[in-house]
Amino acid sequence: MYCINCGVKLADCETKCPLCGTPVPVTNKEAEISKPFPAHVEEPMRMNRRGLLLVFSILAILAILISLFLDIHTNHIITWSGYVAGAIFMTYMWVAFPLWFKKPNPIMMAGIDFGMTVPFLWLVNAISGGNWFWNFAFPVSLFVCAIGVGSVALLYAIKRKHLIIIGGTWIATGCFCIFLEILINRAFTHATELLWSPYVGGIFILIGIWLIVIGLCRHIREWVEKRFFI
Amino acid sequence: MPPKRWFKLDNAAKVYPATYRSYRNHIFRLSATLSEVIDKDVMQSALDVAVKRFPSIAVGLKRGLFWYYLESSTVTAKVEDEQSHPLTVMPKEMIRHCAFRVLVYQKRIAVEFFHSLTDGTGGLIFLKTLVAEYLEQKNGIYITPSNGVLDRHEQPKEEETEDSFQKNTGPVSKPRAEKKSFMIPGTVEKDRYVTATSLHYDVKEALAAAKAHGTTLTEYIGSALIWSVIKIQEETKRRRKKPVRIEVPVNVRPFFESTTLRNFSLYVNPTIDPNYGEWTFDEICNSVKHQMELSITKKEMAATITENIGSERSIFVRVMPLPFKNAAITLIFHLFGSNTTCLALSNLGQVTVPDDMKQYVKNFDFYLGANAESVYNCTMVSYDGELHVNFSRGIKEPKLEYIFYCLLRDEGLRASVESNQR
Repeated sequence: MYCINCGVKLADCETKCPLCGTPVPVTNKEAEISKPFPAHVEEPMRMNRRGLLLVFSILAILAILISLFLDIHTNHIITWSGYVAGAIFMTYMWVAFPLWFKKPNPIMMAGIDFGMTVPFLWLVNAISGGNWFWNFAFPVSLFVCAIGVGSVALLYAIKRKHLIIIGGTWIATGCFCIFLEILINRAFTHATELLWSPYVGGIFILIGIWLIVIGLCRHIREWVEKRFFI
Repeated sequence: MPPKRWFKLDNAAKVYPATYRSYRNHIFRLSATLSEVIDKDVMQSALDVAVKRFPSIAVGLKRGLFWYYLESSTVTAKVEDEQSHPLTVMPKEMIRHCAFRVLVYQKRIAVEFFHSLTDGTGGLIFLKTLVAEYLEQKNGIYITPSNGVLDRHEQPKEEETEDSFQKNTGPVSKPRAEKKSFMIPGTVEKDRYVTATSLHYDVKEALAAAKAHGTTLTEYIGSALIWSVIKIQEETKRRRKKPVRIEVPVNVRPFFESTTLRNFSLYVNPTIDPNYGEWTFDEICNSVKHQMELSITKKEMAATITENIGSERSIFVRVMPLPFKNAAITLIFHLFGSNTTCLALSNLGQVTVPDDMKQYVKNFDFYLGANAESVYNCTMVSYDGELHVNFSRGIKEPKLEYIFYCLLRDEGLRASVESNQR
């Protein structure tokens, strides 16, 4: 059997020429057995994810219960164990909770993650008797939540131009730095000038612009992809 | 239990663990196709016998505080089933325990080696010895240890496990400074699929064509590859062309009368600069022939070895902890070692086997890895009157082998092709 375009003699198993891509008009169906490599790839052994998650969940619950018990046993009220329990619960929701799902919806997960952060901060504020939740932590959380969930939603919904979306996220984060310093000044220092945020925010914005340029220019994108291919 | 043997890595082997990544696995593959379907159980039994003869190959890669080293395997190497493409990723965990794997598929037995263990010559001796042991166990025949088949029942010799680089330095070193080469562009296979394409030629026809240009077969195929890469560069419409440089490993054992089964190869890098003007194929053949002949002499090779091992003998380098060494080697590799050649062409030469084995062995094959950085590699191996020119490719487009085939077709060489294309 010869390729009708380039004239090379083809092995019986070929359905198209490996050199020029010209399809072979009549293929030998019996030739499957003589293929130079098997068609399948053996899946590597996978860990039992559910089992690991169950163990991790039990450990997390135990850690929360033990810290609450010790705290109440010694102080008769919840003091430091509130932070510990909240932090363990937060970590669990961020790391382990999405793994329970086969295909977790990233928008929903990002929403839950950011949504969990606000009550945790409120809890810390309440236990410590602070006065920083409504005038600082809440607006900051909302802004971070908007950037985070918005970026994830865009990345999930738009299957192309990811670099441009990530670039946009960096620029939004750069702007957020300025907003953050304004909030810090209002809530804590009462200063009127911006000291650090223009520099930090500027770096974020520059990185964002660079990512957008890479996203728009195919040649630079290919070079970067080749260099940083994982 | 006998004490575990361990070996320091030879000079060529040192760079591989430091720069090993899942997308850049320094593995090469040798295979032999037999006349009958392989019995996996007998092959496992043959492997258990053969590995004892190769103490420097039946090893795992371990970390010391200052250097990596090789230590006798703690696990028995297992015969495995072939995957859908050659040279799949060898996990680090596996390399730690046993840095080679044996794969069977139908009539073919393949061995894939992590390059720190050995080079093509050492690997071929291992493969031939393994096949001989298999044939003895399977067919009850006796195969005379000769033509690269070792006697499995004799004790390993000390000179087979020596680091020949340390013994064969020259009085002075030869500085090396390679400029960047043109690199073949293409769409990288994201799942690291390696497409293996094998072109088969008649050895006599190929030798006659090489002789017509006054070159050896390696120089001829190397020239054809350079010519093909120049054509690919012309398609990119770059105004300023980059030199086209290929890497040709040279087995230096004959120069230094070494019988080591560990790495003992050096590289020559024939280069053609398209900026000098339009090159005809004959001019490329002529230039490559002279470049290679100038480089492949005992004195040149000894000077290169001296240069290569100079840095590892420095006390400053020797006392540097391994993580820092790895970082330094990786940095140097990226700054000076990558993108200096567009592909490697490794010629295993004319493979011979003992007469008793000939009727059972149909052919031999040889593949180097390919990845996102080194998207093409090429090997040659001749056996029983047939020359295999094998391309391993980490990109989707088969442009190099097509241009290469067309050139040799126009030179009057007939070819057949086999691949694992998707």
